[in-house]
Amino acid sequence: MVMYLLWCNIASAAPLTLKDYKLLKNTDVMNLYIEGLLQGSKWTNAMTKSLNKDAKKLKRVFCPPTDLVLELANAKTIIDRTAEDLSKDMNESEYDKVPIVQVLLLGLDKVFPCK
Amino acid sequence: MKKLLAIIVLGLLFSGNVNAQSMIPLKQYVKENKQYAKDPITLTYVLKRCASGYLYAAAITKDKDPKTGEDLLNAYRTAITFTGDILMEKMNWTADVAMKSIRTDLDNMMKFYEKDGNESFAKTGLYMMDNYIGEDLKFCKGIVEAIK
Repeated sequence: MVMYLLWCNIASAAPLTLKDYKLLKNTDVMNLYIEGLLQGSKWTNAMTKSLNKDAKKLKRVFCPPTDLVLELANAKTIIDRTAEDLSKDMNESEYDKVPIVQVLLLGLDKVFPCK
Repeated sequence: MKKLLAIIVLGLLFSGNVNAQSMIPLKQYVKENKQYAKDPITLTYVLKRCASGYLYAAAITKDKDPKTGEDLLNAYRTAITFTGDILMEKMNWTADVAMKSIRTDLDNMMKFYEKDGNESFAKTGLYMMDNYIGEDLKFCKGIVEAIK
């Protein structure tokens, strides 16, 4: 039953939320998912830069130092800290519905702002 | 001596299990190619694997659960579009050349997923759970959500 529910989460179009994060934190499913989120975010960020190289006022979402390798552990720390900040401004029902991808991007923007 | 024999037998069983997979799990590929994101060919390999994994999942799901099948097809479309964008932008390929490359690779990857999924089903009654196909899709869900 648990495996079926996990499969539904993976197959569904709905993004995983902070509620899922609380339930599945430190499971293989969540770790794989966050690794995917991190890779996808980095590629999108890089593609935004590449596709808009002629634009003068382009702002990427985040600008990590070039010598830093962003890995799963960094991503989880960023999600944890950002989720904690969000929990101060939201009620539980709102908080549970926030997609993890948004939390990660908010956190990356905060930790690695583009100047 | 008995211990040694047990280790050899278990080792053979384990290696047989690993070799049964037609493709390397995506998680392992990413781990072993830390710089892969800088090379458009290796980067698009990962995206093509995601696209073919989603297409395979859609194919075996659509009759039983059309809504989930459609969601999986949408994820496939997202992965394929991003792959095409990268190949055209970074490799300077035309849309036609990019699509031909994607189609060829997807056909081959689909065959491997189909073979391994069918073998898994024969052994366990499950196509994508408890094997590398299911793991690939967990990883790919994150990617697709971040790029769409």
